[in-house]
Amino acid sequence: MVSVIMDRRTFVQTTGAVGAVGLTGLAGCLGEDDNGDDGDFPSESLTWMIPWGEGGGTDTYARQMAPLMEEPLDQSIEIDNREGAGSMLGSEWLTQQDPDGYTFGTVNPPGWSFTWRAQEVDGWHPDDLEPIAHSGVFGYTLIVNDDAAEEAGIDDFGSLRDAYADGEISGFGYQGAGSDSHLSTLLLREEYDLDYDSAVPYDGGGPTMEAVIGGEVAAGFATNTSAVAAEESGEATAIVNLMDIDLDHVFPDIDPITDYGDSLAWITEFYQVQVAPPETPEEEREVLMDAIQEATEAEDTQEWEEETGNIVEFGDMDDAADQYVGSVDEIESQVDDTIGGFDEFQQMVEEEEDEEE
Amino acid sequence: MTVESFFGAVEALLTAETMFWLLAGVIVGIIVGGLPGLGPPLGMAIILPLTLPLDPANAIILLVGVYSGSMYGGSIAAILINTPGVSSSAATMFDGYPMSQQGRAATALAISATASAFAGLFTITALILFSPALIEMVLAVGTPERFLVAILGLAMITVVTRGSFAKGILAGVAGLLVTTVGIAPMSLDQRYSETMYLYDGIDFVAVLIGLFAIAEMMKLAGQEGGIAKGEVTIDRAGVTEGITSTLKHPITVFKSANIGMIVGAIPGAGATVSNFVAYSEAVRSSNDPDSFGSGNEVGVIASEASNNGTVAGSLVPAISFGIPGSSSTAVLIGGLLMHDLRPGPSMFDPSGELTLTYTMLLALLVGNVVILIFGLSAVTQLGYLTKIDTDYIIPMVVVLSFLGTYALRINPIDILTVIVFGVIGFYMVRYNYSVIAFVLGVVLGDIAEENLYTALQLSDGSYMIFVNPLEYGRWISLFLSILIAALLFGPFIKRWWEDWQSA
Repeated sequence: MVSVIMDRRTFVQTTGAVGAVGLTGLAGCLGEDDNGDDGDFPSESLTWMIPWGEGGGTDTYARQMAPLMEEPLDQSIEIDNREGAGSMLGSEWLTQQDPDGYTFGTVNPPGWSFTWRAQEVDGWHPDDLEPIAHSGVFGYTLIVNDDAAEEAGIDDFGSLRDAYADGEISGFGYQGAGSDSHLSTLLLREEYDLDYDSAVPYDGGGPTMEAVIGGEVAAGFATNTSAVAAEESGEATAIVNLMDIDLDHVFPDIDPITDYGDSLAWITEFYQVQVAPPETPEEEREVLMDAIQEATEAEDTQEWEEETGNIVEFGDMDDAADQYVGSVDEIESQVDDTIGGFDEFQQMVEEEEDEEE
Repeated sequence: MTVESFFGAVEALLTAETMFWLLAGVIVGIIVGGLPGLGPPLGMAIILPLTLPLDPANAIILLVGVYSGSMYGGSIAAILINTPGVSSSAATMFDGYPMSQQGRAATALAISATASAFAGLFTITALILFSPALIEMVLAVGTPERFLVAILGLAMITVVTRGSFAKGILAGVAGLLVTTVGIAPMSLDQRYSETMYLYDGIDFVAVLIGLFAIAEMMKLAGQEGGIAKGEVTIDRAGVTEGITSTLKHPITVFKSANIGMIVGAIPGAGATVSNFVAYSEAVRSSNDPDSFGSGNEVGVIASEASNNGTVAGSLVPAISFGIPGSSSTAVLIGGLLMHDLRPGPSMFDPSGELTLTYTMLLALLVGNVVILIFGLSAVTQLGYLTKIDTDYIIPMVVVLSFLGTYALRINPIDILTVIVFGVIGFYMVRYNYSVIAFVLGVVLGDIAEENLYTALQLSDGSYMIFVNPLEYGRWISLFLSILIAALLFGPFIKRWWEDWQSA
């Protein structure tokens, strides 16, 4: 269990992680530094692939770290956004690159492994990629509309559960059919007795937050960073922490889901893991790992962490491997244990669709 | 207190440094907007890291300057080379480009500058005066209303289609079909996504660029001379004609700006939708609807007034709730946070950040004056482009179109999309199928599908959520449903009534 200390103000700015930061990499104009090839790695510029669009949480991390890694590496790093298919397009591209250490990327297990399994991707396996390091973590909370909370007296998971059971509130929003938050939604009903009247899918985090703020649904999912934005709107409050990571310093009254059952971290907590193409030598990866460590420990990054509320957490090559190697199997067995397997999950999703039709 | 904040804002704005950043933002925006494919989100995202050393007010002013400038800039390529600089300028092409072909590019560009600037001035003023009401409206509009706005847009197909009605419907449905490619937005269904490159569907900006830019270049390749077929007039008279034409249609400017602002304030609908709704409304309310599509100035006025009106509207959910209605406002929110400003009610609170909000809005007002001056002077000179031999224009436009499209999401399928829809667009025009109806389908399909699914989930599958406010409390839905019915059946009822009267 990791404890991250952060105050409320620091956390506030983090919708930025969902919102912004440049496309400078897109210009692709960082030239190669020609130091001559004397056998030292790296002797030319590097490419950092981000499998999401510019401005997302993962992109924001990379753009913070990249300039700080350039100094120890003595080379420039070009960020290459290859979004699509829930990060699968970029990941597949990475598996096909030369294993020379000059190209690496970020993936977000275990959500990444879940998507790979749910989409039944062929041709490569998450375990094929070589670990470098991890640099951060983020995850889900539940936010509740303030008017609904006031009327039904909701201030923790227990009272949220009661309010649904008594029919005092209506609607529970999650981020996309078949997604990790959809699975979590089903688990909250099956394992934690959250008896919502209807679970409503929205197209991602922004629309889900908007639906809770506007009162279209009484409660729903928000990442730890966008939950702060939701609170700032003055219309919603973060009530339940679905991660294992302690968020008390940001949300003093937040209720941990672990008080009501087993940890859900295997599907609600995600890492920023840097990986290299299959068969990239360990020596090159170590050089990159050291540069990542230097970047995460830089004063500049600490300040950035405080200002934006993104949680920076360095882990070495072994820690990185722990986050995703074998994670498909783990998710498979967790899904088996909790709802009977992926086929059952898909069936449940389809049943929900049929109910609507 | 509010008055105090207002004057504080005026004071903050009237410094040389702030004015410089505003000017820089608007001009960068016009250039980025003018290049096909590269829209406001890209321009703003490139600028964002560069705002770090600036103080918060200047940083935000620079960003909204780019936003506002690129909304106008998009019209330049639309008018001159039939390529939407930004997707929200798509409707500008319908009449702006025919004006260029008639040698009236300078007039069209002057109209675009004037309509953009006036709509911007009007909507920003309205935002300053009525922001509390707009904030209420944002909270009242939810999933069912978004679905109905999309349907309203689709119903406009009946209005904008000229000639064969059946062909118009067919084109619209074909457009909707395009949006079904990829993973279904709200379920696990995979549609035609044999390759992973199609998982996220066909990008509508690539479709737009193919349909208009490439199709037009194919057509031009068979012609001699420049884009303009006759004499090209780029003198003061042409520019004055543009200004007077806009001023002669204050109702179109007012109405389109309002449509832009209101639709823009609905997160997820945005500038492209408002652009088509405003254009269609101009066609619907015209005495001479058949002249649209062949260089009717009112078409350019409506389109350009609406997309600049959207800027003001989209700021409401972004600033008051931190809800990004579009990628542009998402980048803007990122900018606010980067400079320690939290979107929320405090942005409209005199004891909070109201002074800064006012500074930003006033900067946008001044930005629209910059658009007007710059647009009427320098930009109208670009009309000379229409005189250049198409042998030089075609390769430039084709290269820019492909580059701009590929830069969007680095997906090779987008290149194929541009080519395929270029050919489709070429033959659609040749055989009189409505390209506008097709585009409406492409733009609105996803919005309609996604929100219909979610709305029905909210109502447990009951369609009454759209029409029964007594049970669901959604009066705006009922209003929109009536509007759609009136649009679809109004003409028939009117004819029936007239027949009955005369009988």
